[in-house]
Amino acid sequence: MSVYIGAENVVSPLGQNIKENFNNAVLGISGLKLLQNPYPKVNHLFAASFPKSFFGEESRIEKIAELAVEKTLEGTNPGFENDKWLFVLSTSKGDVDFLKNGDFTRANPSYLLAKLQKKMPFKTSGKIISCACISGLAAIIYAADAIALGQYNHAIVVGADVLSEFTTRGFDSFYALDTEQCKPFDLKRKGLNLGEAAASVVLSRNEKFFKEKPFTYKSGATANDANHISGPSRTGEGLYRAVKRTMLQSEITTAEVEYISAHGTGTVYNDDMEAIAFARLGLENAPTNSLKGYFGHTLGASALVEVAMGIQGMRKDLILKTAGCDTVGVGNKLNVVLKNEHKSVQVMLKTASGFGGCNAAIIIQNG
Amino acid sequence: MDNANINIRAFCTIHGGRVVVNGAQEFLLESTSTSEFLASAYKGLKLDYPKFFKMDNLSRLAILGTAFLLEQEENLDGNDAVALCFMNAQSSLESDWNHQKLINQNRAVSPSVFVYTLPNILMGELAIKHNWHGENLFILANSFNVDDWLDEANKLFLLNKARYCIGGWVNVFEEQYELKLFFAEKGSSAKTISIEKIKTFLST
Repeated sequence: MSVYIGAENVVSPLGQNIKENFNNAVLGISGLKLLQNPYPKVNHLFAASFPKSFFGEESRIEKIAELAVEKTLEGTNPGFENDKWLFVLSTSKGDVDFLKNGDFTRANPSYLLAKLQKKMPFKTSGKIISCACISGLAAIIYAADAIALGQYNHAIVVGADVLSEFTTRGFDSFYALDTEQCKPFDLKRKGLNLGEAAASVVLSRNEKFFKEKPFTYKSGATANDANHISGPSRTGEGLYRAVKRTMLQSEITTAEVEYISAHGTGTVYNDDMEAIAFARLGLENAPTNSLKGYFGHTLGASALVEVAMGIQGMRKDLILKTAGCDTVGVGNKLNVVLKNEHKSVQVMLKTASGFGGCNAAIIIQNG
Repeated sequence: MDNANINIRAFCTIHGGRVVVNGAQEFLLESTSTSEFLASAYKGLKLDYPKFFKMDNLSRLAILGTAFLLEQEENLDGNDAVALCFMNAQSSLESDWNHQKLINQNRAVSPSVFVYTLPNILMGELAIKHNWHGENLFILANSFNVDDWLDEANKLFLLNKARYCIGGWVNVFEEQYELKLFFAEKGSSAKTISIEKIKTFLST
C-alpha cells in the first residue's frame, strides 16, 4: 500500500507560504541577514529571523506553527474529518523563550502540541518527536510507518523552531556559527547560520485527499553514528547506514536517485562527513543541494522545510542552487548544484544529521 | 494493526534509590541526591566507563538502566538489529535549565552543558557505549504507558526495521528521577516475561 505526501507548506522569513518561499529562492533571495546585538553577549549574528512586526504578544513558535498547519490544511479536500488522524509535532526546543523565566510548563513542547491540536478543525491523536536536527525526518518516518500499518488514515506533520538566545549562545560556544552568510559545501565554509521557520506536510493513504497531486513516500530510516555526541563521524557511518537501509526498503538503486536534498549546514566537519557518506553510497554524481543558505538552520523544522521545498521543486521541475556555495570544497567528489537547474526529478533522497550522532533519510517519488 | 510476536525479555525500573530488574531488587541507596545515587549505582555495577562522569544525569540514568537491564542477557554490543526508542515528559530540562541559568547569570555558557540540551543525546551515548547503529526514536509524552511503548516496538518489528528494541521511559529533573526500561525481541524467545506480570509490577 502506498503512503502519499503533499499539501506542503513553509512559513519562514523568506516567505509566508510555500509559493512565496520557493519563488524567492528561485530568484536567489535569502532569508538570512546580519542582526546587530540580538542578545546580550552576541554582537553580530547572521541569521534568518522574522521581523518583529510579524508578531504581536502571542508566542512566536505557536504563531508560525499555526500558520503552517492552516496553510497545509488548505491544500487538502474536505470529507476526511472523521477518519483517524495523527498530529506529529517535530521540534528541538519548542517554546524555549519561556525557559528564561523558569516557566517549564510553557517551555515544554507538549504545551505547544496541545495548543496546536486545539486549533485543528477535527480530532487528532498527538505525538511529539524530538531528535535534534533529524526531528523533521524522524517525524515523517513515524507518521508514514503508522499510516502504512493502518494505525491512522492521515497524518499532519509540522516542524517548528524559533531563533532564540538559548540556541544562539549554545552554538556560539561551539564556534559553529559563521558571522557571514553560511557556505554549505564551499571550500571556504566556516560554520552554520541559525534560522526560524515552521513547515508542514500531510501524509495519507488516500490520493484523493490532496488538492494538488501528491507524491509517494517510498521509505525512510534512521541510524546512529555510534561515534560522538557532538561531532560527525569521520566515515559518515550513520548517514551511510540510514541511506542504505532506506534504499533497501524501497528497492531503489543508486542510479535511480536523481536529486539529493542534503543537510549541508556549512560547518567544516558536517559537510565533509556528508560527502564521504554519499561517495561510499556511490551517490557522488547525483545533483545535491543544501537549502541552509536560504533559511539558515531551522533545527527541528529544517528537514520539513527542505522536504516541502524539494516537493515543490519536483512540481516545478527545478533543483535550486546551493545558495552560498561558489567553489565546492569537500573531502570527496560531490555534485553540488551551483546554478538553478531545470530537471524533471522522479526520485528525491532527503537526508539529515544531528547532535547525538543521529542520521535520517527518506525517499520520495514523483507520482 | 497487526501484532508482531513481541517478547519482553527483561525490564528494569529505577526510582527513589531503588533498582529493580525483572521484579527483583538489584541495588538500593535511599535518601541521597540524584548525582550521588547515580555514582553509587555506577560503582555497584563495576562499569569501567569513565565517560559516564562527563554525561548529564539524564544520560547517566539511561546508561545505568540499560546496563542493569542487559546484565543477564547475551552481549548485544555491535548488533545492527537493536533499535532504541525512548520517551519522557521533560525532555532534557535539567541540562536546558543549567544552560539557561548560565545565560541568566550573564556568564559564559559551556559547550559541555549545551550539548546535553537535547533528549536524544542519551541515545547517542547508548549507541557509542554499545556500538549500536540501529534505529533511534525519541518521543515526548506527558506520562508513560507500557502499551504505548510496545506499540512503537511492534511497528519497528512489523516493518522489519529492528529485531530488538530497547528503551522506555527515562525522566530526570533535579532530585526527581524515574526510569522504566524494557528489552523486547521480535519473534519467539526462550525467555519471555508476561506483559500482565510487568503491568502488575509497574502498578505497585
